[in-house]
Amino acid sequence: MTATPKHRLRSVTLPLALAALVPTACHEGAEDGDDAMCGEAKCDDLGELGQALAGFNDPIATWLKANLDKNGQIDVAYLDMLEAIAKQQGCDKASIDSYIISDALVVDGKDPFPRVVNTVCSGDRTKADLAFFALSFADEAGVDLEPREIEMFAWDAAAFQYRFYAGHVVEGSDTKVALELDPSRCHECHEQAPDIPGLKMPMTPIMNELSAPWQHWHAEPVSFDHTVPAATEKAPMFKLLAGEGSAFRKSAARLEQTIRSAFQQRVATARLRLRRNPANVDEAMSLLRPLFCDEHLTFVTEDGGSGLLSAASVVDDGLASVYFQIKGTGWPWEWWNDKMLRLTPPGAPDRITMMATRGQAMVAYEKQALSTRALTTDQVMRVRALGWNEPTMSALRCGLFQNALPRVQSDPPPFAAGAKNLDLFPLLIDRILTVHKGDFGLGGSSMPNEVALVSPDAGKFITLAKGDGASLQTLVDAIVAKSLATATCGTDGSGFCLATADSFGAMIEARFKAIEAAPRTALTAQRNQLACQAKERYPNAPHIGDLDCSMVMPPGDSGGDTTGGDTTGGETTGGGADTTGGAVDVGDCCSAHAGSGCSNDTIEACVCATDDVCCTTAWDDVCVGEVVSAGCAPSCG
Amino acid sequence: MVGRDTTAGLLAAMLAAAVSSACGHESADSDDGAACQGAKCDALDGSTSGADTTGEPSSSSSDGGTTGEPSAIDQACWDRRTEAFNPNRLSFTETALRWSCSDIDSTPATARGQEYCEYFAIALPPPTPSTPYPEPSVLGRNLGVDPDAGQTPFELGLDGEQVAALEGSPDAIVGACVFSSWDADIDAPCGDDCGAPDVLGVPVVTDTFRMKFDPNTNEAALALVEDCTQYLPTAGDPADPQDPYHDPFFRACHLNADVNETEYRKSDNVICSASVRLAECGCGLASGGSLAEGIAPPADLGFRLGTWSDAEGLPPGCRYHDVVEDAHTLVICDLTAAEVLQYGDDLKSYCRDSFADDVVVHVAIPGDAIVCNPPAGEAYADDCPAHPWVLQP
Repeated sequence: MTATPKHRLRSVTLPLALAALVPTACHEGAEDGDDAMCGEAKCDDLGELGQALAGFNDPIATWLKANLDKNGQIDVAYLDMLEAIAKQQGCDKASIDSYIISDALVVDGKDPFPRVVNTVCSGDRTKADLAFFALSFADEAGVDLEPREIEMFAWDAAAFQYRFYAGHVVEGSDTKVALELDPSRCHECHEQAPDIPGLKMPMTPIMNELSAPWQHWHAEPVSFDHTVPAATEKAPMFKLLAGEGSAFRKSAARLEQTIRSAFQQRVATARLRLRRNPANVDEAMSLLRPLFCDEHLTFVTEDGGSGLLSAASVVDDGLASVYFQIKGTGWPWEWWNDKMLRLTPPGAPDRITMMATRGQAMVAYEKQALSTRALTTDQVMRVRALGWNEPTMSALRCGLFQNALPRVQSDPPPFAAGAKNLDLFPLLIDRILTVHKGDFGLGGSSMPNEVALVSPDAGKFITLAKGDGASLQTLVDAIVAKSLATATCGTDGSGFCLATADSFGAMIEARFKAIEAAPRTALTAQRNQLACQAKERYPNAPHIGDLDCSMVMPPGDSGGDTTGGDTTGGETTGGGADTTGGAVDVGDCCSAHAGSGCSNDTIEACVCATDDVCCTTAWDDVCVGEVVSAGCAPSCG
Repeated sequence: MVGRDTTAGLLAAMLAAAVSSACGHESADSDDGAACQGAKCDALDGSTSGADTTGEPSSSSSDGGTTGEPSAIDQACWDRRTEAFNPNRLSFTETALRWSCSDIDSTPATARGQEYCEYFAIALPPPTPSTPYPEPSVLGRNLGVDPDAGQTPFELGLDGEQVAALEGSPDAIVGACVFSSWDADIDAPCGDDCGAPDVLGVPVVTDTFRMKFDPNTNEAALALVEDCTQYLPTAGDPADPQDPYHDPFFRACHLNADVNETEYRKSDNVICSASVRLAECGCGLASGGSLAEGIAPPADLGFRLGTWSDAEGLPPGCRYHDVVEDAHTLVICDLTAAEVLQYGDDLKSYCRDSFADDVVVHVAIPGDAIVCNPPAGEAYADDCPAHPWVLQP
């Protein structure tokens, strides 16, 4: 629910303007619109607004139909509306929860201002995720919440999607609220990020911080980075809804549960239903997209001073589901069992905050796809093991999808009459995992026009640690040279090789433990890179302190990085990553070389965080010295 | 271990013998020489732990210095300490000692339920043409006094029709996570069936809903408090703040390791730490009664369950399902069809991942009834705060 417009125009929305905002809404229920009542008017009297509402079957629409006047306005106080919708859902006023997020995102360029999120029937797992309400904006005085500037959405069980609404102050009235359906600004945040290719999917609830300590949110007993201005704390509306002592005020821990339910039992389930639709390449591709592209992000923060940070910060959260699906419990690795990085020392001042991770909505979807056998573990592993060192915002995986999309649109894979989207999945995955000459800068005289990234051994899959173009080139060269089977990965999984679930899990573990043992500077550098990427690409990216993205090197800009764990270019040793007797695999980071960057992602990010010349110009002796002096690796030898 | 009335000069001579005596009174029939109660002396992997029978930590010298890499016990103690002082999940408060039902992460699936809180799942898939009258499945429930006694199956087998039915009604309640802190050795006053409603068709009877593991007993809780108030932990150098034993959690954790070999367990370390501080500060009940019984009253069914922010509250979707009014020792959390579908392979793990971190065991401390009289000259008695059981990070 941190989906927040960067700034808001004070609304002077006129009811007459509302009809234009629902261009597509009528088709879903127009046949019911004729006689359905919308408050004092027939829905038809409200034009497209009414017709759209008549066809909606979500709790908010149901209530609106009975309370809208013929001008498309409601004249009910916010809390009364919540109570009425709770009652309509079979719950009482005590079931209303208020959650408070307060960060600088809400009021851009000013002090943090709280956004209050409400749910009704909050203790009922079958109902709590059916409707969400938010007051995000200040009143005219800039102190209290404006209770008539409302954002809300609710689940339409017939249409299998959340319906979005906004309420606005009506000029000249102290109490009336003008209704807006499907506000375009909601799409910015609740749909997939704008640069994600392919069909848009229905909008999803968002809560950026889905784990303890719920940074920016009011959490109990302790809130982190959560500040409500003193004047707002005392202001009547805020005080009533969410002030200290308010019976409605609850910890973000509860909202987390409700949002996760929404992902699992609403969004993922509804999306997965589409797999049974008649085969349609665009739709089938959009159903596969979460395997490749991060439609949404979730952010994790070190839990207080404990040093505990979700493993999702460095390991794809979805991989845990894949392994679970393979044989349930019993895997031996800390990353799988513990699911927590234990950073030392606990309580360090430079704790890791708001690390971007794969969106939990997507992880839940992938899990459900596996459970319903829509996808196999092998299919998911084939995708997620490519660029696995970059669990979030992988340019490689999403690039594969982006490159393949127009190709399969213009040249769809053959499928039988009566086929369903589900039947297209294996064909499309094969097509997506086929690179063409020129993709990612791939080339070479021996490279054919197309190369399938497929293991020659059916019992194994390809792992590629780093998803940059150079690493991919060495992998492709190995496939072309038919030497993939003999490629070996470094002890920490660097480079590329063929792997089983067991060996891949062990590689992840080695990397996981290395990150745990390394100084926080490396993780901080990685956090900064991801945060700046997120800020650029995801409209709802959270506020992160004083991070200056102009000082942070984008991950793809390390120029002459010729890795894959190997600086020998066309060698097919799987990168032949160095090992140093069980110490951290420093790759070529401890030797000066002409290109920028070095072959150990973590060390590279750490060094470049303090000396960007190393990632922009050359990895010279100074950079080598900084490997140790900046605490990026314990030693170079 | 050495009783608090034992002179320091006898310490070294008595260490080895005292280890067995600390446990031996509870299982005198054991013939392994280091007998302990129930599963208390079992390491997590089921083997007998090689805990130091000398009473000395393996790498932290008693005089304060450390000798190289931390031992496994040291590491476990620091890990538990870190968790105990997480500001959002503080274990030590003025009113209660607390930890969550979630076992520490390395606990094997078959050994879960180590923290005075056992949990399992129930699933009742919807009827389908092939299975018109489905039976509820109880998944991952412990069957006996230790993990070797086994568990009910973890996996819920679903056929294609059931998958489709669950997918068709994703928000239907078809499962439940059950959390129980009902002590394995305490009977409900109302007998085996107290009339609590079934949970998805599973009758709420003692055998199903009471904890099973031997350590999850009132007797074990009492013994823990008694041991940790009676035996002296390694003191280290009280004058040296750098000495790891200067930290009360650390020295209590080592004492717990010596006595119970359960340094990995959250609950034992929290209770033992508070007990050690109560003892160091000369605390007891003003009434003269048993401090152990004040902390773990045998009249109760077990420790109460709540959340981190509310001793009387639960996560959304969860509710108390008490067999004795207001006991708050049984918690039911609803599972929807979507969850059962996604996690049917191991719903118990899902219960742990989704709820167990927020279902919190609360050991009420009778603060008003406790009086302290720090003994002059004793180690760590000169800095006793008003509430010695509230350890500070």
